[in-house]
Amino acid sequence: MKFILNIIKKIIMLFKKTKKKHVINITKCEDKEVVEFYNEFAVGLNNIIE
Amino acid sequence: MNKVVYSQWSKPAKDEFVGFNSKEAFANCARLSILNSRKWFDKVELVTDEKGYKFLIDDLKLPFTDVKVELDRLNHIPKKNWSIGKIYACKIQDEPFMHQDFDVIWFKKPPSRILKAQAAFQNPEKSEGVHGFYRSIMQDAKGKEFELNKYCNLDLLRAYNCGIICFNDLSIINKWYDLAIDYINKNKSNLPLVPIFFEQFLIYNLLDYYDFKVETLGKDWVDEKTAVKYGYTHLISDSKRKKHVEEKVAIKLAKTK
Repeated sequence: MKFILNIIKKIIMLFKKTKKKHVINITKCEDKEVVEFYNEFAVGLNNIIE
Repeated sequence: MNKVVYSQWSKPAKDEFVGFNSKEAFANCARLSILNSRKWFDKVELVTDEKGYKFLIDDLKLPFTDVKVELDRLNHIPKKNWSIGKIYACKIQDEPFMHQDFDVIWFKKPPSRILKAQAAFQNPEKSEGVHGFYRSIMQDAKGKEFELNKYCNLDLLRAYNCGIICFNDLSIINKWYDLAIDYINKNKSNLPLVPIFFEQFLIYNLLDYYDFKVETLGKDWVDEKTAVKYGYTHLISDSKRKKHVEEKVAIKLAKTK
């Protein structure tokens, strides 16, 4: 039981790590999606908000 | 450096909103960007085509100081090579300039180390995790007879984010354009993102090859602290389509008028 719980914990940790990485999977890309890859990386939002 | 250049090649554009949710959202951001640029530079030029002129000047009446209608001559090039319009806009300049995307805004005067640099960009791109998409294109180029192979290290992931492109030394830009055209003509692969390759990867390698002294706003990225310090904003991709960002841009524009 403990072994299974450890496995589940490891899977959850792995998932969390993977989620944080901004990995780009180019095999799913099309030309029209061109600049979507930077989508979480806006610069200087505070200049707009202030 | 006393000139900013914006460019719009209409052929590759999916719609008239240039990545924004609506015509109004685009117009607001573009106007905010241009009005701020006009605070810091005497010349704020648009390089576009007939369709772009009708949209940006006749319709939106964006306040550029000069307009060049030059980009129809690229219409024989497949639209998937969308960044060639930007490179061409750089190629036809005859004085130091900063090319700026419509979603880039300088709320403060750009620092003199950028304005006086031989060449300058937003930041280098070299993270395997974030910028790994260059790898398959680099790999594909190996063994092919692209002219750019002579100037590029196809094993090293290095590029410049071209949200801003500054040149005081214009000597290399024709070469950049010619190598990009050669690549476009010879490239038979359907790999995505090749326009970013022959724009951002190629210019990094070319400048390195010719030993240019290049300045960047950020070392790996422009973090918020640095962005606020320099008054620099780049609403990359999805960020510009978020409702609260659209609203803030509109409010900021109203205060700028």
